[in-house]
Amino acid sequence: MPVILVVEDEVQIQEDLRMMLEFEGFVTDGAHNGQEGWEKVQVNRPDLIFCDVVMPEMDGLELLKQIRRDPQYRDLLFVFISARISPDAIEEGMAAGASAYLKKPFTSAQLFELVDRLLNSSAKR
Amino acid sequence: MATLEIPDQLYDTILKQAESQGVSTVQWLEQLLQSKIQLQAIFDNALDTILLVNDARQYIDANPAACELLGYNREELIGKSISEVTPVANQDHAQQVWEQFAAIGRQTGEYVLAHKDGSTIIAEYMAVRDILPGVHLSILHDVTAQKEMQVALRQSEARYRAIAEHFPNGLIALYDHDLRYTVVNGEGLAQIAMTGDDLNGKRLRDIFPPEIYERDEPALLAALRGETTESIVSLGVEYFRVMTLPVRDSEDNIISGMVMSQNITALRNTEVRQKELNDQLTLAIDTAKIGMWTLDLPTQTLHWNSQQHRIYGISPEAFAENMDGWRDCVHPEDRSDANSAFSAIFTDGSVYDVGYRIIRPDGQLRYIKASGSALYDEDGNITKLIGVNLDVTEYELSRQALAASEARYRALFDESLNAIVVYDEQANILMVNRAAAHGLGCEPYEMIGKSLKDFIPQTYAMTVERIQRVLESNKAIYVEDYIELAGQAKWFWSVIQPLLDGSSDLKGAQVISIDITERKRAQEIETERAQLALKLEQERSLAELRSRLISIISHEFRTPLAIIMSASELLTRYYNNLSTEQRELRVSNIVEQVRHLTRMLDEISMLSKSNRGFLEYSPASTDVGKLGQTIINDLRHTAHANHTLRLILDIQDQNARLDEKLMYHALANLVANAIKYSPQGGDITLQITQVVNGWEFSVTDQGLGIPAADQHMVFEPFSRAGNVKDIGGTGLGLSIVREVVEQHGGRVNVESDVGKGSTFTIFIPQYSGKG
Repeated sequence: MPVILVVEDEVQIQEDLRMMLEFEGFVTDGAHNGQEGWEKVQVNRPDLIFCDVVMPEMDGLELLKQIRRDPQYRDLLFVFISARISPDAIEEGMAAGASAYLKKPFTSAQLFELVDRLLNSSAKR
Repeated sequence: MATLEIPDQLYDTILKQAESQGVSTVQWLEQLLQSKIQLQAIFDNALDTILLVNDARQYIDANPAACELLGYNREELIGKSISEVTPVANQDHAQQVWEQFAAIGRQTGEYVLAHKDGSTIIAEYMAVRDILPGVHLSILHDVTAQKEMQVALRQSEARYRAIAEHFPNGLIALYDHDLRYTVVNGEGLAQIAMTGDDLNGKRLRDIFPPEIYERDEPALLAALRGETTESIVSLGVEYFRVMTLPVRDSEDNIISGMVMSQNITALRNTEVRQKELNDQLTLAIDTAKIGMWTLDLPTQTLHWNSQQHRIYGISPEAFAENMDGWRDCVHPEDRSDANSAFSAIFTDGSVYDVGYRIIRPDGQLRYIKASGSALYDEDGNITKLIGVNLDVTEYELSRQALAASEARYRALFDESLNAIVVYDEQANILMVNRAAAHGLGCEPYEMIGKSLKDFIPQTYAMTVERIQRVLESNKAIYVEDYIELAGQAKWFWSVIQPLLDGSSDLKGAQVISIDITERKRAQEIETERAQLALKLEQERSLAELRSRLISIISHEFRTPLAIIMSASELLTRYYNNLSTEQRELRVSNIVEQVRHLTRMLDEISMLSKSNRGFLEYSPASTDVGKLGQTIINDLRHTAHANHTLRLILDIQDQNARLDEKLMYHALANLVANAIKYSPQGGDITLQITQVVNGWEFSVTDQGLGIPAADQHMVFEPFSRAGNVKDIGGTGLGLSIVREVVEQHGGRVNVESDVGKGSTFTIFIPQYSGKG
C-alpha cells in the first residue's frame, strides 16, 4: 500500500486528513513542521507528501527545497495544501518543485482525484 | 561801466599822509589814480560779484556781475538795503551775519540772496570792512548751480545705486578702456560670494578663466567702440542675459563700458545689501578762490596775487614772473587753446570765461575759469593786461560726475528688462523706462507727466499709500501684486524705494517691477503636482494596506473553513467508520470554527461600520477628554464587578487633531482587551497626557500580561500571545490598533510583565498624520 506523509501544524486538519486517507486504504504518517517532516522522509520514504506551507520551525517551502536537493528524492511526489492561495504563492510553491498545489479548503473528492492521478501517472512511468 | 565813488575825506587822508612823508601831492594823486584804474578794471571784469555797502547796510555800488546775479540794474541796486535782497526766511540770519561782520571786520561764509524775480541764490561771500572809511566790500560767488548739481548728483547716484544694488539676480559692472572694472554691483555678487570691492580695479582678464574671457572680450571691446551686444549665455542649467553697452557722457564721449548680466532662469528675491557704494563721489566745495594777475606789457612781467599762487600751487619764489611761467602750468593739451583765447584781448579788449586745466607742481590737476581785459594809455595803446582766475575744479568734477552718473543711470534705466517707474508723491510719472511703457502698450514719452491713474487705475490708491509709507520710513518695501493688465492677470514682484532728498523738493519713489507670473505658475503647478503625488501615495498605501488585509483575512478564513470542510466530509462520507466520540469531536470542531469565523467577521465589520469606511483617515479637531470619557462609559458594561475603570486626563488643550472614529476604535479595543485579559479583575486606567509634541494615550491593566517572547508580535495580524489559553480572540484587534495609530503618524508600544499586567501606549504627534 502506498505510504502518504501529512505535514501539517493544524492538528485537526492533520488528523482528519490522515483519517480520510486511511479509510481509503492508504498508510499514513504525520509531522507537525518541516523539520519533523524531513526526519520522517529519511526514516521511511513515503510515496506522496501532503504539506502545509505556513508552519513553525521549518516551513513547507524549505522542506520541499531540502527534499529536492537530495537526488534520491528528486521524483518524490509532493503536494502543498495551503490557505495561501494568491497566484504568487502558488507560483512560488510550484517553482520550488511541488507536484501540485491544493487550496484550502478542499473537498475529499478533490483530494482523492489528485491522489489517484499522481500515484497512477507515477506508477505508469 | 561803473565808477567807484571815492569819498572826499579819502583824498584828505592821502594828502595828509603824503605831506607827512614828504611825497609830492601830484605823485600821490598819480599813484592814487593808477590804483583807482586798476581797482576799477577788476571791479568791472571780475567774474564774481562785487558789492560795496555802507554802514546803513545800503548798497552804494555794484559791478555788472553783481547786477546780473541779483537781476537789478546798477541804479536800482544802489540805495537798496541788504535786507531787501535777502529772502524773508533768512532775515534773522542776515542780521546776525551783519553784526558779526561789524564786530570782526572780515568774514567769509555762505549767504542766501533773493533775485529780483523771487528765486533764491546761494552764494559764498567774502566781506571786508572799511576798505575805505565807511565803505565795506563784499565779493559774492554764485554757487547755486553747483548746489543744485550736488543735489542732482546725489539723486542720480541714489537712483543708479538703487537699481544697481537691487539689480535682481545679476551683475552690473562698469569697466574702463583698459578692460578694468571700475564699479561692480548687483545681487548676483552675493551669489558668487564676492563684493564689489573684490572686483573693482581688477582687470577682467585676471578674473575670468581664459576661455570665458576670450569669449567675452569682443563684446567688451565693441561696447567701448559704441556697440551694444546682447546674448544669452548658459552656465550649467542656468541662463543669463548678458548685455554689453557703452556709457556716454553728455558730450557723447564713451566714458566706460557696462556689462549687465542677469540670471533669467529664475527671478529670485533676495535681501538687499545695504552697502554704501565705495566709489561714492564726494564733493567738497571751497569758498570762492579768486586769483588775480596783471601783465605789464613793456616789461612782460606777470604779477600774481597770493590767491593766484595758491591756486597754481607755486610759491612767489618758484614762479617765473612771465607768460612762459604761466604757460608751463597749463595742461599741455589746453595750452594752445588757452593761449589763443587770451590773444583775443588784444583785438577785443577783453576775454571772458576761458576754461583750461593746470597741473600743479605736485601733479594735481585743477580746472580754471579765467577772464581778463586790457588797460590802455592815453594814446589807446595797451599797457597792461589784468584778469582773474577762478578755481572751478570741484564744480567741474561734480559736473562730470553728474554726467557720468546720469549716463550710467540712463543706460541702466533704459535697457533694464525690469519695469522701472519713478513717481512723485502723488504717483505722477516722472520717469518711465521702455520695459515699463511697453508693458502697458505705450512709449515712455506718452506716460511722462501723467498719473498712474491714467494707466493702471486699480493700483493707484495702493501705490500712493506705498509711496507715502516708504517716504515716511525711508526704507524700501517689497511686494507681490496680482494685477490685471489689458485683460491679462499677472503676478508682479516689485521693490519700492524712496527717493528723498532733504535739500531739494523732490519727493517720490522708484518702483522696479518684475513679471513673475511664469514663476508663480510654475510654483502652483509644482504644488499641485506635489499634492497629487501625496494623494496618489496615500491611495497607493491604502490600496496596499487593503490588499494586504484582504489576503491576511482570506488566509485566516481558509484555515477554519478547511477544518469545517474536512470535519463535515468525515461526518458525511465516513460516518459509519467513526466512533461516537470521533463524531462528536468533529461536530464540536465545526461549531468552534464557525464561532471563530463569526468573531473575526464581527471585528472586521466593527471598523467597516464607520460611515467613511475602514481606514479612511480624516482628522479633525477632537475633544480628547470627551473621547476618553465616551470610551470608559461605553465599555463599563462589559467589565465585571471586580474591575475598576478610571480615566486620567493630564492635558492643557482640550483639542487634538485626530480621526475621532478611528481613535475611538483603537482605544476601545485596548480597553476591551484590558478587561478581557484581566479575568481576576483589577484597575484599568485610560490616561491621556499632553506631551511636548503630541498626545499620549495609555491603557494599563493588572491582568495576565504578555510573555516577553510574544511582545514583539502582538501587533501582527492574527497573532496571539501564548498564554491566552481559551480566551477567545482573532488576533486582529491589535493589528487594527497599530494601523489606526500609523495612519495618525504615531506609534504604539507595549510594556508588560506576565502576571502583573500590561500597559499599551499610543503616541500621536501634534498636527500630524499622513495627509
